[in-house]
Amino acid sequence: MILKRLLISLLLHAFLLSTNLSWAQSERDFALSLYRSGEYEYSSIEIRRWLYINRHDPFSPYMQYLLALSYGRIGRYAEAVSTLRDLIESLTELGEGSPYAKILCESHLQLLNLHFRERRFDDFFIEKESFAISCVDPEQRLEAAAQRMTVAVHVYSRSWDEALMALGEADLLDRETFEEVSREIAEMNEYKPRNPVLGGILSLLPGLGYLYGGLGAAGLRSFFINAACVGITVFCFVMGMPVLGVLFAVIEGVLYFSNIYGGVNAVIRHNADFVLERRDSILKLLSIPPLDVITLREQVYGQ
Amino acid sequence: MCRRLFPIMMSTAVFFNVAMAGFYNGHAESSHDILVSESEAHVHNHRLVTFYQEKISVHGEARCRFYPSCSAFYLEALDRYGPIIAGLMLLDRILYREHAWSLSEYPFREDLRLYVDPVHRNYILNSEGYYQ
Repeated sequence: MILKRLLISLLLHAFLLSTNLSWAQSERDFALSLYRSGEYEYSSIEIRRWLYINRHDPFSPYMQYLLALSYGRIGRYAEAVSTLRDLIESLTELGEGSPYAKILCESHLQLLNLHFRERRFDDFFIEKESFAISCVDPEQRLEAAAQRMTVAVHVYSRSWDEALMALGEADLLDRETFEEVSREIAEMNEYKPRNPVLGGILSLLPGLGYLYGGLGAAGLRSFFINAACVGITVFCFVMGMPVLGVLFAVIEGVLYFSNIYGGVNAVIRHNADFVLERRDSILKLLSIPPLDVITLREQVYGQ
Repeated sequence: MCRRLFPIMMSTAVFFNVAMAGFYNGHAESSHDILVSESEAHVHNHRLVTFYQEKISVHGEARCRFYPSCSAFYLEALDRYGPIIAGLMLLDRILYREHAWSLSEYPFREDLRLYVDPVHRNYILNSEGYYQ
């Protein structure tokens, strides 16, 4: 009887042990499958849970990396940055010759990527220096992506000279793209924007400022509204209605000032729209890397 | 005609109200890219526009073809730049730019079926706002 109970107890323990061993693997696979299917909100929860239980697992740096990417994908940039910083700190402590050299470089790159997406360009350049120090010999793909992002940062902040210089150093893989980007940046470098002050001066004749700023219809409208108001004012004075005349004169004054404001605004807006259009087309050509696994697919997904 | 006339009358009334009250109270804070203090003119105009939004505008069909709507645009501009600049911005938009021929100049938001014209892209003293 006792032997029978002992046997059942042993069998139960063996069963529980086997399920416990396979649990970590299956939970990890589940979190990975959530990440791969684009369920980043849920994958971040699952990965965090897995990390809480298996923090000393050799796979945990990869999971921490995926956690940061999940946060980044759902727009929780602050948490993504802090997770990547923790990961980089813990991996740097391991020193040279660590098996995690690749993930260290890629984490630095994704930190750059996050700073770019957040438009925190000062942090971007500081991080780029630490990327150069930590990753002495990064993979060509990562280095090229970092260089492309540097060009993109200069393009985004409209520093065309610096963008051209950075492009000279950039190792863009596609020669045609390189030439197209350098041609577009050179064009933008020589672009002469329209003068808002001239727009304001032209607006002294109602509508001309809008016309100069590329808003022809608004210019016509401004001209006719102001002309009508002036006409009514003159009519009131001629017909001997000075009080009404003064009222319309005041109204015309306000309309006239808003026409000048609008003329200057139209010119500034026209310049900005042109720059934004060209900037976006250059940024598209530069192809910023996605917030995803780049060189670690084999280690993370096993393929 | 009435549909177009009402916003024009409204904007002119608001502008006069703002300008006069602003000057009268000595609170014509215009060219600061910060939240201005709540002067009497400020509160008065908030009330006026909110009254228009809550009591008048809701009963008709949506008139404004821009996003944010002209009244929301004015309230935001009032908070950010003060009554004088906000008045100029509103008149510039409502009288001159809001026209079927000018709409192609603005990005279109498919989900709202409206043309996008945010406040920060109209303030001439904030050059960086145009690039956002």
